[in-house]
Amino acid sequence: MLINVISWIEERLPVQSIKTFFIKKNVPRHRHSIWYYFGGMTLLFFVVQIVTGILLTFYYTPTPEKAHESVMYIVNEVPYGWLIRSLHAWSANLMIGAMFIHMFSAFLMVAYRKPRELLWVSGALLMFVVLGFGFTGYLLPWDTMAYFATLIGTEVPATMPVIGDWGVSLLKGSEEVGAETLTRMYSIHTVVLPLVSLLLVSFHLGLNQLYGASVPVGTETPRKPIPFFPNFLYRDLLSWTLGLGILIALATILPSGLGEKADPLASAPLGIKPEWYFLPLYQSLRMAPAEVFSLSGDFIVNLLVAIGCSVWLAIPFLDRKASAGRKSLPFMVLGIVLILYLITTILLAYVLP
Amino acid sequence: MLCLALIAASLSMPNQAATAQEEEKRDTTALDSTTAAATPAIVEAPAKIIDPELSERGLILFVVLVMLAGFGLLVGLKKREADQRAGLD
Repeated sequence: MLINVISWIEERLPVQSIKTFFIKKNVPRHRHSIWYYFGGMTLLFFVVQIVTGILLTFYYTPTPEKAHESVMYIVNEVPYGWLIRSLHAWSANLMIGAMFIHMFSAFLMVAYRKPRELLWVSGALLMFVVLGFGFTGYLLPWDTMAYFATLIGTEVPATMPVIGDWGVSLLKGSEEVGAETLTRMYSIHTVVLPLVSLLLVSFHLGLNQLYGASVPVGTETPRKPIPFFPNFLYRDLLSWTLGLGILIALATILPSGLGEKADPLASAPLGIKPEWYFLPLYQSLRMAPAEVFSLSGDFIVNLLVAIGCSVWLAIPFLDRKASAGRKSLPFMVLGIVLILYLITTILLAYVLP
Repeated sequence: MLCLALIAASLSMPNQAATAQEEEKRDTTALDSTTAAATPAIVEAPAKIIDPELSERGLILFVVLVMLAGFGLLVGLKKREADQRAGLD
């Protein structure tokens, strides 16, 4: 019976070619091999996000009147609702952390060089999508901190000329952060971004399968490469087991809290800070002088971030030495300075009042 | 299996929005006592988060970690076998 079903499928689908496509990949072995695991780890937390996110949507109500109560209901009444919400929140943080490690390790290993340019571009686009998930998901619990942080966050594009007001109204959906904003954030968070990310993840994984893992420039690979299936997959499974262990430990030991229900008429509380992955932007805006050459400091920071993001996306096309298989000193310095800047600004944002 | 059990348990509760709608409907048909009695009671969420018991959290953590350790051991053994077959050191 089973054999008949398999042969029926094989007659209609190119099963053998699909199988060959997935099996043929080899993973090189060298002293930097450990960095290969962070892409798979990011994917694992992304899957956890999808599963827990779908479960949360069954009970969540995206209206200002009901949002906070529905989250309260999930946490207090739904069996293991607190655990699912906590897994969702912690896996978001771990996913972003793993994604940054994966991205910077790919950058420092010059993995974006020919023919992997599109792999880099799709990965960089995924970074923006993931940060979009973080931004749009933050408002959903509709507690005081989420409300006022979003109020500040949605005003960030306002300093940009021409597109500033349009950007703010696009994010808010109205003059104030209210029902329209919540609906907008919810639909972007649960429909638009998941669709875009699924497309980008499929494209990214397909290209990765096609080209295989990149060997860092100047690294010797004297050891025999590992066949991806099943040898590297077993290694990936072990790293995922460890990742899931860390996730469940964080979700149970430090379950996600929830503040008081947001009151738009109340004054903003002291010490509003965004999530850790937006702290570099937050701290840069705080450190910027009010005015430089008659231009506002916020505008300059936003402009620099926009330019920086565009450069980051176009790195494979700007680093000419990479395609020749050589490391470029200015780009290496740029990467290291960027990593140090991100870490420093995050720490400063936590330390400074 | 654990994931499926967790999902099944989570989805066993009535949806809060649905029960609120039921309440509204029930108010309009309050005269029909039979209908009102047959409708399940509304679960009101308390105003503050009730932290899950430490023992409940500890038990979940323990069970999941033991399962993950068992799974890790199994995968580790399979990995060793596969590596030997492929001639990897």
